[in-house]
Amino acid sequence: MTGAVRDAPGPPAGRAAAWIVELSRALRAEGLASTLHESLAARDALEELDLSDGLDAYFGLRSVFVSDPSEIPAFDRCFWAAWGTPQERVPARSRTRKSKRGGRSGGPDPSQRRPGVSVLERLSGRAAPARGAREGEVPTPSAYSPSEGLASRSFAELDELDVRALERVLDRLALKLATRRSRRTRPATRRGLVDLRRSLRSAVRHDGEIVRLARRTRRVERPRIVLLCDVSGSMERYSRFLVRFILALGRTGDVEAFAFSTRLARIDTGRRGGRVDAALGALRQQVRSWPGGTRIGACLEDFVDRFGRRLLGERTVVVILSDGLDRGDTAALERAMRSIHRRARKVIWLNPLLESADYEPEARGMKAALPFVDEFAPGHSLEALRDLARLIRL
Amino acid sequence: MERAIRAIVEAMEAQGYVADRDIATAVHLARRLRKPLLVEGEAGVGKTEIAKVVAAAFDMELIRLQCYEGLDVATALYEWNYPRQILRIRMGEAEGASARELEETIFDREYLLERPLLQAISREKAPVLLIDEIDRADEEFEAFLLELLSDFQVTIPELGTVRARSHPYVVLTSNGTRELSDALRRRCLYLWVDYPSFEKELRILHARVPDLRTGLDEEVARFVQRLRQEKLYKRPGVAETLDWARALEDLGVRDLEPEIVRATLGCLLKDRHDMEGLEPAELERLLASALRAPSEAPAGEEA
Repeated sequence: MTGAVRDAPGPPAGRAAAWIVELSRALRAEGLASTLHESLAARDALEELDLSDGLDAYFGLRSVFVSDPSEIPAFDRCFWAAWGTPQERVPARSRTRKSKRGGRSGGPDPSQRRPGVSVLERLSGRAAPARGAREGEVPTPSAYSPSEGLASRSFAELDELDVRALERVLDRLALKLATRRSRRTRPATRRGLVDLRRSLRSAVRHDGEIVRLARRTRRVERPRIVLLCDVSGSMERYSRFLVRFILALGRTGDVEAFAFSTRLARIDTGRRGGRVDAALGALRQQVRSWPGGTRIGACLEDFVDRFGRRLLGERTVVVILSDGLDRGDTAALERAMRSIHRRARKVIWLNPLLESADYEPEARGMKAALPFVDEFAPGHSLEALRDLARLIRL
Repeated sequence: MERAIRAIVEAMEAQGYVADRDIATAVHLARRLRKPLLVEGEAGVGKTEIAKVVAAAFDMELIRLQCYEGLDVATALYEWNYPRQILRIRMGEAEGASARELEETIFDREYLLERPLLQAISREKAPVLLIDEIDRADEEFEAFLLELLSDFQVTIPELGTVRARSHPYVVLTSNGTRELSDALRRRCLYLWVDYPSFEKELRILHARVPDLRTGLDEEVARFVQRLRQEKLYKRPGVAETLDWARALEDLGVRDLEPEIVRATLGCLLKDRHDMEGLEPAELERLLASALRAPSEAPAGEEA
């Protein structure tokens, strides 16, 4: 245990309340959610602790102010600064917790990723390039593979008919996958488990005769999907398919979509495909006129400020499609991602660059965002989109 | 150190639990401030143990609610005893009782099956209420729990409001499979339990596997500490260390040899990929490096 007891300054006698207010303010400045509620608890806590020794107060107030291991370093700084003893007294932590789901945010396990032919490769007529370890494996065509004719033609050459064919495939996939049966139940009339409680209630009305068995069945749950799509030049080939897919999901669920490059714009997710196409087209025109350079951080912060309160919640899955090449401020990106991650149920980051086996998230933006991403996946092919649907199902 | 905190450290130690000062302080404050204690940490670091040990150390009853998705009021709080109610209805019929009379009879406390949460607030003497793996329950349940934890009363439509007779000491644990709501986090005192340092792990081994041969105990602790630094899907927790130590003791092992470690590795690694990833040469290297560097043991919570 650490802690040779030294004469520690601590809060000045009789001014504990003011001292706590100062500490709370410093913590807020570090980004901790410290409110009056915590301050009051801190005051009560100090009364229960032996203040001759900074460590009691340190551990005690830490349990009050900190609500996530990632906040501990900031708390350490503020607390010891306020307490007035040098930093060496801080119990050293060899390892701060990486991310909430640290182990999993490293992307899908390569050994579990099934080989599949990228839609884009098939469409563009390029054969799938041999990919490192997977060389020699025979690619299994996806169960939803579009007609062979599509494969040989380049993406740009797709005529309206082909696009529709692909859309139908995506629609079917979306419908099948966007819903999930909840473990919670709702009252039902014919099928499902017998609901004894309601049956009994109604039996009382019939002199104790159970005339009709009330039943319950599992509720169908629909996640809300918020799509944030990087539409800068480098991403265009991918975003087109993803947006279509997400909008197809939207027919069964609740989907909000945004496009960004240097600015953030909301995509009108009307139910009719034609309107979506038009909206996307208009948006692309608009984006082209925006000055170059993607500012992911600024755009995501803008999203959090304007739409976060309404769209982010326990039911929300946030899907971000971007290569993480940010020209802007990574601190802004980190702030925005932290906020999104805290409030959404799941954050999925699709980065088509992940498709190549030797890709490492080296871009500064990508690195800053990764700790706040639950699933990191490529999303570059039909197969990958099917995986995405599985991820979205909470 | 506050006397009460030292007393908690000692009381927990008497139960075979090696409590660091952060754990003891949080336990102390949770009791005094009457706030629930939210304990987070990787699997197998002894989160659930805290509640059990506190209950044993202070001679309190332990009431445990294991959470899972879809956990509902009928399993967590109460359910009516339907077979008894039906019997009563039949008897009432024979006696010619009116529907109203019947309803009053069968919706009595007597016909209520108390589930853990209702039990916890109905006890004369405050129990320890362990709400295990709260992250597995869904938001609906979390919201309901929040209400219970702030008011310590529940309303049963047929019966009215049940108020807590005593204030249970609440411990929630979470593995972080789901982000808990800010509201719940803020209602609780927070405790993050890390993997133990080498010294602490050694003390735990002494407390829990006292017959382990001297010398082997250090080797065990060192190897586990070293193994945790590897990139693993599932790093071994304290529970795994103890399992392993007991296995080695049962086998009458004297020194850690690569073959023995390989044969008993299933105690430590619980994932096929981790097992396969650790090739014989790699294992030997790990073992050698773990046993070579006694002085600079990798530190955990405290250095």
